[in-house]
Amino acid sequence: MRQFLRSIRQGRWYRYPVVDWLDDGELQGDALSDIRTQDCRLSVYRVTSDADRQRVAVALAATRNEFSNMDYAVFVDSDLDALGITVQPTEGDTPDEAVNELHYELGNLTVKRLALLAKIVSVGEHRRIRQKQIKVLLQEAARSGRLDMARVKFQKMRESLPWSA
Amino acid sequence: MPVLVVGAMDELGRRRMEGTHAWPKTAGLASDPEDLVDRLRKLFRDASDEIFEDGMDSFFSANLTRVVRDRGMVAVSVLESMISADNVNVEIAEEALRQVGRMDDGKTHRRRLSLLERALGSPNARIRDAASIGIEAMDDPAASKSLQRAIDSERHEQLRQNFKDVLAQLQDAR
Repeated sequence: MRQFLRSIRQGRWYRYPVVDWLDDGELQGDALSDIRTQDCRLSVYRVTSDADRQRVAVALAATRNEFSNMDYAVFVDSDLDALGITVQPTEGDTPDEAVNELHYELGNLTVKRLALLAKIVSVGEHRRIRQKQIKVLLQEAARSGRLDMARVKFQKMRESLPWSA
Repeated sequence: MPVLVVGAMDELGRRRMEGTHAWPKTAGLASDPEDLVDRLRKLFRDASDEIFEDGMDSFFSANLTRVVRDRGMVAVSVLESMISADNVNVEIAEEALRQVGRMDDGKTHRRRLSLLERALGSPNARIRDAASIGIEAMDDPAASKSLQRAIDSERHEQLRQNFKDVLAQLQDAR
């Protein structure tokens, strides 16, 4: 069964009893901020191992303006077809070419399907890579040539990393 | 039946700012300049339309940094009173706490750290988590005792683990 990774903010996905005003099984509305669609599609990355997860997380961190902790959810593609959500491989847009090949788009997302997808994401595995660790991993990725400097969008991030000659 | 209008967030934001304090304060705000309170309130109101992402600048974070640099300790005190209000917009409070940790401003370092340490005692789990992220960014071992207390009193496993990870980082920094 396929697993997909999506970056999130962990706190938006806290459920009852961590958030005591929620009913059991309900989600905070703020969680929807982490699964905002464009053209009714949502960007995710397919991961098969811990190494994949880390590499995708680092590539996503490289698309940011500055070093920051990276929260992500890994969820299983169990019911997506049955829900009418399409799963299409497309080119990703990170500075790591290998990670871009792991990119998928979940499509045909309606409001109802998005709510169901939110439930799937919420029961996935939620992890955090701390800011200091992300910095070290990004520096390694830049030094080793896994990241393409020309594809790092933000100047601040570009200038923060040690690029190999 | 009441009708909710999209765009009414300003009023909602205003109401959220009028709550009472949810965690213990230091000094009162009676002597704080009114314009500073107004400026920060406006910043919070305007931020209700923003969607925040880790590692990305926002209008709110840039302006909050500017206010703290301009007004120093008093701004941090006013900010604390707003973040600790019962009805604070948690999404914005979270962003503020992360930003409080990221600011590069030596004059307010101690005061900002103490705000974050107190926020670890918030009744709101998201605020506690954001406080730990702010403390992590400051990377100051002076927060170790507060973090240990937060670990001891935290009921939720995921949060407790987040706090432990930050504490381990601070202990490595010693």
